[in-house]
Amino acid sequence: MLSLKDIHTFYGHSHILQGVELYVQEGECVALLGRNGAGKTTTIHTIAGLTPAKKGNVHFNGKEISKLSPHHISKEHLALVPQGKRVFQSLTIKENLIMPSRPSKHKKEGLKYWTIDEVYELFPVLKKYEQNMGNELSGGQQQMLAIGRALVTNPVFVLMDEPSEGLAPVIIDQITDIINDLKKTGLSILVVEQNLKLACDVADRVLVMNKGIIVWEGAPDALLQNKEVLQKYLGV
Amino acid sequence: MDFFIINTLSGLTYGMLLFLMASGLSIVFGLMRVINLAHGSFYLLGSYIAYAFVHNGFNFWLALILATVIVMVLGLIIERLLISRIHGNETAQILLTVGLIFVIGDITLWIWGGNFLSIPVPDLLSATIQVGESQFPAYRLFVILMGVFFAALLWFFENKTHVGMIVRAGVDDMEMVGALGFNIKVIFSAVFIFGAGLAALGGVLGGPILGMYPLMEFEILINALIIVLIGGLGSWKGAFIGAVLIGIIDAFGKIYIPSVSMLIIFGIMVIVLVIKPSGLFGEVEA
Ligand SMILES: Nc1ncnc2c1ncn2[C@@H]1O[C@H](COP(=O)(O)OP(=O)(O)OP(=O)(O)O)[C@@H](O)[C@H]1O
Ligand SMILES: [Mg+2]
Repeated sequence: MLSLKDIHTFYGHSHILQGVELYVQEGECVALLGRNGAGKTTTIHTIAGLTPAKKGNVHFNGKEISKLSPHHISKEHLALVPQGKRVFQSLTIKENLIMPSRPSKHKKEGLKYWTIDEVYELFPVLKKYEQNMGNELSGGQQQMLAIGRALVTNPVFVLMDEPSEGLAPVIIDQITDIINDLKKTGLSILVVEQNLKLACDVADRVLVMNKGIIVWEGAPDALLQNKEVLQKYLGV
Repeated sequence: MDFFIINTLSGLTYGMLLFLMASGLSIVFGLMRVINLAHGSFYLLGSYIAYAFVHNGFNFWLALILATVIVMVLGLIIERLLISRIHGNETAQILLTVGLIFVIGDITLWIWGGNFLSIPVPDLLSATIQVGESQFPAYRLFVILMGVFFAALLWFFENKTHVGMIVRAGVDDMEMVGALGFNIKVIFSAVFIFGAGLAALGGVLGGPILGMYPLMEFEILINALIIVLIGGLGSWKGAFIGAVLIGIIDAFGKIYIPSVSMLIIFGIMVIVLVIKPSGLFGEVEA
């Protein structure tokens, strides 16, 4: 469904992604792990069109999207839950959901159709505070809102960048459950994480990134048993 | 008492003209982080173009609409062709927009010459209104109402429409607005030409009151900059308060302490910026 071939991305002159190759199949949840500065966010942003690759291809649903602008990529039903949540501070919760909400035009059968009410059903706490401004929410609530905001665009694929960052352990468990629930609705997911447990609890397959390339790939169990990779690339 | 009311109304008239020219500057900065120093030139162009239409026999109202639309089209061309190329580069923005002031100023000088010109007050509003013993021109009252109307329109647009929601979100995080499926180039252009249109409208409405003359755009720009600094960059509400404040101070200052009225305005700006460096309603520090 999504595949990256020989992706090279730069910030100015610094060569950040140095030939990234990865794929995510339909209905699959893939976790991308790596240390600070490994290039995970850059990978996500390259897919979403925010930092386009200088070289290489991104194929999504049989279409080459590496040259498209972010809004066109979003219209291909690929949604972003960014690092740091980036909820709109001067909009209420409700407005944060109304703003991007759009009917689904994709023809994928069986995929859940997300309205604002469905998001409220998934996250009742958002309904409760729907008139509060984005900057009046706790970190966990902001993460829920960031996920809800992506869902109301009715994507077939979601990119999540460190959804557990800065959250308390109980909330991380909650986010883990939510990602697993979303998987069951048929969504395909690429989730970037530093939290090994969350990644292994949700992912069908795990990728490890170091210095702008994918250095290891395998099942979550295999990763948890591979002391060398854990130590060398993830510092555990 | 009459004296007080009349001067307050005069101050409000001037304040509303200042509001129309300053609000666009502020909105454009809030969304695009572009300080368009040529914003005053849109005002000037609006009044000169309306003058040209009126001079050639068009009625005031048609001239008002045509001049505003023409300036909006020019604004669109300037935004697409020039401003959009230098996003994020502040030095280039300053050099470009200062350059535009001179180019537009020279073009207006070449077409309309260096004399003081003025647009006649439209017949419909040529009457005066009795305020106690004194008289106040109906046209100026109309300008006040237009200012209030556009402030209300901006409020409605910002708070009650989907586009307003997108623009508010854009002030927070434009990149994210793009990632959620909105074409940010189109949003930038739309907001830029809307701001240019407001300035042009101010120019046409100011034509019968302030007139037009060479280098007027600098005076307007300085006033507009003071207003957005007092009110807070990026906030049209701040521009509204700042403009009313300056209009009123200007009206009374000219009478009581004519020689230092400009000094008082600068003084107020300094005090506001010392107490709240981001301006009364601003979130970004100047
Ligand atoms: N806007 C930028 N300009 C220049 N360099 C950048 C920029 N953003 C990131 N980098 C650099 O690119 C590299 C990869 O950054 P990236 O944000 O992709 O890492 P990451 O794996 O997401 O890290 P983290 O886990 O801390 O979020 C880092 O060395 C970083 O310093
Ligand atoms: Mg990151």
